[in-house]
Amino acid sequence: MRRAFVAVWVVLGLAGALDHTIAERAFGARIDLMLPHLKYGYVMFNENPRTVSVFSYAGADGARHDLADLVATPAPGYAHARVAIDASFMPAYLAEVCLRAERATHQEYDFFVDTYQVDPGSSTLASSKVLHCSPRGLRDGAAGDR
Amino acid sequence: MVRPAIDRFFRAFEGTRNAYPVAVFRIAFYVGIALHFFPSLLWFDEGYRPGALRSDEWSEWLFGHFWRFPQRDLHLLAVLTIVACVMGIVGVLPRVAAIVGGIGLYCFASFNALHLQTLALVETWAILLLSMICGGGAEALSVQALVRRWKTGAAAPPRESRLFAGLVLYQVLLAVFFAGVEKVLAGWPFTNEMSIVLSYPRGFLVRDWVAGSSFMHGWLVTHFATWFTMLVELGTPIALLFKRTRLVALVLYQAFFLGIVAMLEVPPLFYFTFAFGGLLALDDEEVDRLCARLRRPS
Repeated sequence: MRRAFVAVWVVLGLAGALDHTIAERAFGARIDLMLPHLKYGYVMFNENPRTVSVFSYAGADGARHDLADLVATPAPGYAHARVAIDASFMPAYLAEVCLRAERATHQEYDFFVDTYQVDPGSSTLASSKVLHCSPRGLRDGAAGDR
Repeated sequence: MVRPAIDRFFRAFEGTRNAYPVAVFRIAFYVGIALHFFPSLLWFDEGYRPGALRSDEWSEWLFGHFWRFPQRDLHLLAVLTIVACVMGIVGVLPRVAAIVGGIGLYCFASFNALHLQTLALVETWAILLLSMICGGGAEALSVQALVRRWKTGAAAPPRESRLFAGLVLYQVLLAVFFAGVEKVLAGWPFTNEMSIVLSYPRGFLVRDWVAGSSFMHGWLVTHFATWFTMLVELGTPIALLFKRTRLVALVLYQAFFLGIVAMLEVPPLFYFTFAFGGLLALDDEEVDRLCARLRRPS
């Protein structure tokens, strides 16, 4: 019984790994293996974007701070990365951060979206965008592509 | 010929082993979970108030039916989940902790994955599921073990079933190895991919000291980081299985994960799961030697 369980677990783990490496390339599709730990394969930084955005904000004092400082839910050790990834993959997230911050502080903010072109050994600011956060929501501010 | 090979393979999952590596892993794993999930569960309204922005990464059914769950019940589930994780840390009824904690964490990750970086959780589900099925992990460094020792006065070194530890080690090393395979398939040997990762601007994935250090963006350092990553990911999961190469592999493995967490903004759960999971490769003799060295006065 124990050996059967071990064998099934080992084979399922391998199937989950191959599902995301070989199967997708060979058959163009994945098989749904049902279990949550087999859903996404084993990926760590295998493909990395060459264009990335960094998010910051300025309040009444005009000084720039990382946008992560406006997010109430802590993320010990990875706060900046979490905000950058969430905002990159879900653009509506910026409006959510604005809504929460404005409601909590009753202040207006400027959000800055700085987009960088990343090349081996260096990153260059490619464009910069300003969004204004107010009780009316998040709107294009003094936008200006460089 | 085949039978002894099969027996040798299954021996890693049968019998008992020194309980300390499993206990250290249990504590680290649940501390990682606490650091990862407790902020979302304590700042509850940020992620789980009606109308909150949500993302669907796990159970579609739970995501779709989120609005049907009364907020009072969700608060209760959050409290139970936190209690279960604390039980996991201190080592009380580890199987119950895994069942209650696992169900709660999976529900909350399914309701809203926005604050819970998805790829950090893949191994978490596997280990929680193993803990639900196999139990164990609280024979040492736990309240349960303390109470047992107090009641029985047993002085024998604690032992733990190999099943849970063996399968956790398999799961962790499988993920590390296939992360390496994915990198080879993505073309890492030809692209010096770490020269991109380490060149990200301040505020995106890299820690501030890396973004501000021109040394870390140099050709030599980035090539070393790229090849070291592939060497560790493809080599150490195999080298850790053999006694002759285990210690060297473990040093490289630990250096690799320490390097990741020092250079990149990754969730602590990622580090705790992988770095401490690697310690399960140590056999009884190696653990005894390590304990003796730690006990020896400097």
